[in-house]
Amino acid sequence: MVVEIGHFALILALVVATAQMIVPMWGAQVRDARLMAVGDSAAVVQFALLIISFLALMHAFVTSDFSVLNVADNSHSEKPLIYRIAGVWGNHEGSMLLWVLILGLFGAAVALYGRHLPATLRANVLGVQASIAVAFLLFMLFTSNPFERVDPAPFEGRGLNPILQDPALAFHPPFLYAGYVGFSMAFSFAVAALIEGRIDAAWARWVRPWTLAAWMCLTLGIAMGSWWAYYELGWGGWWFWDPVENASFMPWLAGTALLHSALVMEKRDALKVWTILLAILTFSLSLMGTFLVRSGVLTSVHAFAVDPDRGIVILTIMMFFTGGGLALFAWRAGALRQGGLFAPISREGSLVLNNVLLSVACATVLVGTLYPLALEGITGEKISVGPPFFNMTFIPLMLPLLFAMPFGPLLAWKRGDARAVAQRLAFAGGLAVLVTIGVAALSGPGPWLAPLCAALGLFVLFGAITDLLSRARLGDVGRAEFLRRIISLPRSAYGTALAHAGIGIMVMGIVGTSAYQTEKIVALKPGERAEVAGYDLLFKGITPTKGPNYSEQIAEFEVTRNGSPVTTLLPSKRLYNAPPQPTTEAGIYPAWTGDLYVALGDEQPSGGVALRLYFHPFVRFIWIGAVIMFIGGMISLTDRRLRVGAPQRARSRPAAVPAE
Amino acid sequence: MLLWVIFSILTAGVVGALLWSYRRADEAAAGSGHADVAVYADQLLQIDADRARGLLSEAEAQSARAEVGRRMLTRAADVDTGVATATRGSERVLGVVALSIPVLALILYTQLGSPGLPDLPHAGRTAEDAARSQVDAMIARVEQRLRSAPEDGNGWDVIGPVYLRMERYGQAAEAFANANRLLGETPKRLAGFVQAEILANNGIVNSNAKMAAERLLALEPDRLDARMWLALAKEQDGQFAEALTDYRALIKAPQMTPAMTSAIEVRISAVERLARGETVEPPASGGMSGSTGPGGEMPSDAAGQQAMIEGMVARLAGRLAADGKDPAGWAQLMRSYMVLGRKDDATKALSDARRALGDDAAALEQVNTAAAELGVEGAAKEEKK
Amino acid sequence: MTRKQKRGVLIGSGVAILSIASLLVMFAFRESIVFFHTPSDVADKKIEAGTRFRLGGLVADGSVKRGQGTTVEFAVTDTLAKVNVQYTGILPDLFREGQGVVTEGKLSPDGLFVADTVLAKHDENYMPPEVAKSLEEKGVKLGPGAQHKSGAGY
Repeated sequence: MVVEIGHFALILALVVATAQMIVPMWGAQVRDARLMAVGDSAAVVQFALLIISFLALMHAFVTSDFSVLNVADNSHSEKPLIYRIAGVWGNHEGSMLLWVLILGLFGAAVALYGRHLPATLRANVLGVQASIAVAFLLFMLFTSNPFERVDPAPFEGRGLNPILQDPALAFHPPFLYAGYVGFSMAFSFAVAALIEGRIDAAWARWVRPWTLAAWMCLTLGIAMGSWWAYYELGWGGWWFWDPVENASFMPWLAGTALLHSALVMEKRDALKVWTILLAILTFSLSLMGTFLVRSGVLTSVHAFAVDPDRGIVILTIMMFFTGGGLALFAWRAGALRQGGLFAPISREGSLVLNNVLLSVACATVLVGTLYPLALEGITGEKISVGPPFFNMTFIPLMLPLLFAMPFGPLLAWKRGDARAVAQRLAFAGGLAVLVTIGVAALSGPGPWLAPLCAALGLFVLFGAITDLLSRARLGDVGRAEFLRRIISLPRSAYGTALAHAGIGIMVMGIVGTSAYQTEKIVALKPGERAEVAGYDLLFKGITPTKGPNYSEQIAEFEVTRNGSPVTTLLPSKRLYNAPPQPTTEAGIYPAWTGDLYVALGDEQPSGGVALRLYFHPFVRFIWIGAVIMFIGGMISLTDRRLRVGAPQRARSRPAAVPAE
Repeated sequence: MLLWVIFSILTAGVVGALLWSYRRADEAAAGSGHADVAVYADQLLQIDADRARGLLSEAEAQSARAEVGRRMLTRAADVDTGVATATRGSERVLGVVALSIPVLALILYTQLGSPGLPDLPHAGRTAEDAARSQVDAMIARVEQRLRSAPEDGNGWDVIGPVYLRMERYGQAAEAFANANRLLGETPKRLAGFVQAEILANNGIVNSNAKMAAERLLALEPDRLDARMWLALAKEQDGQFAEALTDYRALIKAPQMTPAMTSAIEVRISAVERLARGETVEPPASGGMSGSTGPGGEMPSDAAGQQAMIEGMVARLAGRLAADGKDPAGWAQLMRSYMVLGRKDDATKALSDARRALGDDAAALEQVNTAAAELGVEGAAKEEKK
Repeated sequence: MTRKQKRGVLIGSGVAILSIASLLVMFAFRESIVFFHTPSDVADKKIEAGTRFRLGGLVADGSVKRGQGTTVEFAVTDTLAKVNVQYTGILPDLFREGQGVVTEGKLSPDGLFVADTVLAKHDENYMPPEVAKSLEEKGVKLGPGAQHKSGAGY
């Protein structure tokens, strides 16, 4: 019965979403407050129904109700509870339900917290948002219904692909989807603004928090996926430029650009047309990400069983929203008023540079991802575009971006003074160069580009700190005054600095692990030793054990460095029961300077076992950087100024505004 | 019944919430006039703050204030976006919506839902569990007996259908084959064998399955499933025209169920496509150029590759059946069969090749050498002659 | 600067970056594209030794030979032709005889394919729709999900 309630709630959600698509937009058209108000409650009700539906599916997974086809296909009664829960979105149908649930969450958030928005804008936003929900709910109910039943029910499920039974991956999709779906808010705001034909700085203020929230979640989601690939696939790689990875990375690049262009629009009323276009494109790229992953048009290490028919439906949805958004844009964009002027060297100028570089970089990734598809479609020739292509195109575009990054926040709006900023950054730059020379001298030979990139990473990090210090006027004021100022800096300033610092840290991790990693492939018998990056590994042997739903061969390594014990590593190979599939669990010893990484290979005929040994210098910095970026976004999001616009509060409590 | 009560409560709640917000909107309508003005006011405050921090000079602050002021004026000059509380006809719109929600939901649910099926949590299925363990125990007993007495036809006969139900197709095929051998062939056992054999081979009707289906049809000439299997075998052997004839005859059979009809229709259109692809293909020049298939696609999974390869082989066989004057093609076909482990088919291909190439000594020599190299059964025999 | 000049600088720098990027893309395509071939293609197209490409097919049954240390030799086949592959390193978990595999590397002059990357597909029990369909037509009830294949793709 619970299952059927979930199913009915999903259907009801579709019907309510349809009402939400029509009634408030109609109301906005005829300026009827009561019809517009229906949109608010519809959004909340739709979300509530989706929660019921989602919980019902989760209940079916937790209780292993194999009369539900989706559960029978993707779960197994022996699976640990956490993976039975995560199994809800570990498959196509369930992940679509999660997708729609998050969409509903954003819609409800606008209805509940968007009271300060003009009524017509809110009604139109909710209407557009609901149209996306309608498209995806129809798609779900008719091509991939999570509540489809089987009768008679099989006694046991087919299990979840074991490499997906992993804590990082259990929470990777929710964040990724929150990112993808979050950009639907930017899209809905853009389309609503185009429908109204009016767009201004206030619009940018309203759309920024949603974009920021989506961006944060996407950042964390991508980082989790990369972390998972790093330790679960057993190759020690953290990014493969795989089509599916690119599919999530493109919206991130476009979203990052959007975040910055919306800032210009809010502060200076400029870049309106561009920002609207970017909002539409970012969401289109998110939809394309969903399409690429779901359709199976791309072969990928991450694409599991996929269904081309569903891909075509998602493609249609994507075409409809992208095409519709762009058509509306072409029709209305001419009517948008031009905004403020600025000199090329200015905060706006630096943000424009950021936008140009990010969107061009996004375009190169797009070309690299889609070119094989296009070529195969046209000539039938099959090719693969791998990391070398992306390294050759993407990195040269990122270098100037990194270099310009510390300058941006320090430049004044409208007309900046590049020389003054350069003076303020001289210390950061000099320090970065010195540290790099020192480290490069110690670490020995590597590619020539590596020290340059590392220096840029450090420069970005120090530049972010410089930004904070100079905002608090270090050196100009006394110490007490400096402390008072630095504490009372707006949170968005901290957010910016943290996000930029996170990038700097990430760049250092990327450089360290790409340029200086050591890899060794050896075959060892018990009692034999291997050495990698100064660590001595003694192979003690292999013991078989059993986990909850797998059997496991655990190898034991005693790790020493210069004779003193460091740790014991236990890499293993698992064979899962359902479906019967092997996985490799790497043994990792994390340290600040880098990870020691051991993955088991095949047993040798001679009785030994093949091993992959790696030392990945500074690899943790990549994910630490991402987490810092997420935290930066979070702090920015709590900034009062992003929420302002709530008229009552701003008017009634002017005293609460700190005199920064 | 309870289910429908819950559905009604849910629906009523939804409609109620929408109607409530409609009624309540009267009170809320007043507030949100110029919300964006607040944003600009805040921007002015920020300019002051930046000025106080020394980020802006007084002149810059002045011009920034002027700019924000201009924005406020522009905004105010826009047509007043006054909002009526309600327009005429809005109640009718809402009435239609309120009525259509339950109706639409009900229609969709009756199409998609399964109100009759209860939940079946795994923990609650102990009775079934017991039954299942009984089945397991039974299987274990029968297996035990068959290990000691492998010539016990009744044992095989009992366990074949059980294996089939448990999706252990390879074992099922073996059991049915043994039962047929020991107890004699009955339609039921033959049908079981064919089904298991096909499933065990990922949907390929191999020669064993085909022969069994032919015998089944001899026993019961109007069995639809046997005719279907044979038509499928022809399709997979590349005899598209014959397969089409069979499918078309089959679809007219009186006992046809709608499900089977639609399945056959799918097959017919697929075969028509395949047959078209065949005629479009240029005549092969003896090389392997025709072998990758029209799309040249490589499915991304093993089973898909298997199916793709089988398809390629079937097309090659079909081409050679039509025009056998291609020794290299025959050699290639035999090699494919050997790699796929279809030794009988390779032998058959060899004899077909000999028949087709009968009067061309050089070509015959080429085929014979290839067969000998591949170790096709019957190759040596011919050589001795 | 006038409004026009300012816009000129903006558009100019945008176009400059875009053209640099296009040049990079074209250059990178020339340098780094890897073609995908099946073993029959290798025989047919007379691919020169030393050209980097991807070779895909099934691992031929009984062809896997483990040599000294971590060097492995196996043959990749599409049933029509076979190419012998040599690889030093650790094979992926799902590498198995009779299973699909994609390898990347170069042909040596004697026709041996020296691979530096071996990829095996992650999915085990996937049944392609056409097979599932052809079974269904025979009135065979498949196990749960055989025809409604779903997967988790991230």
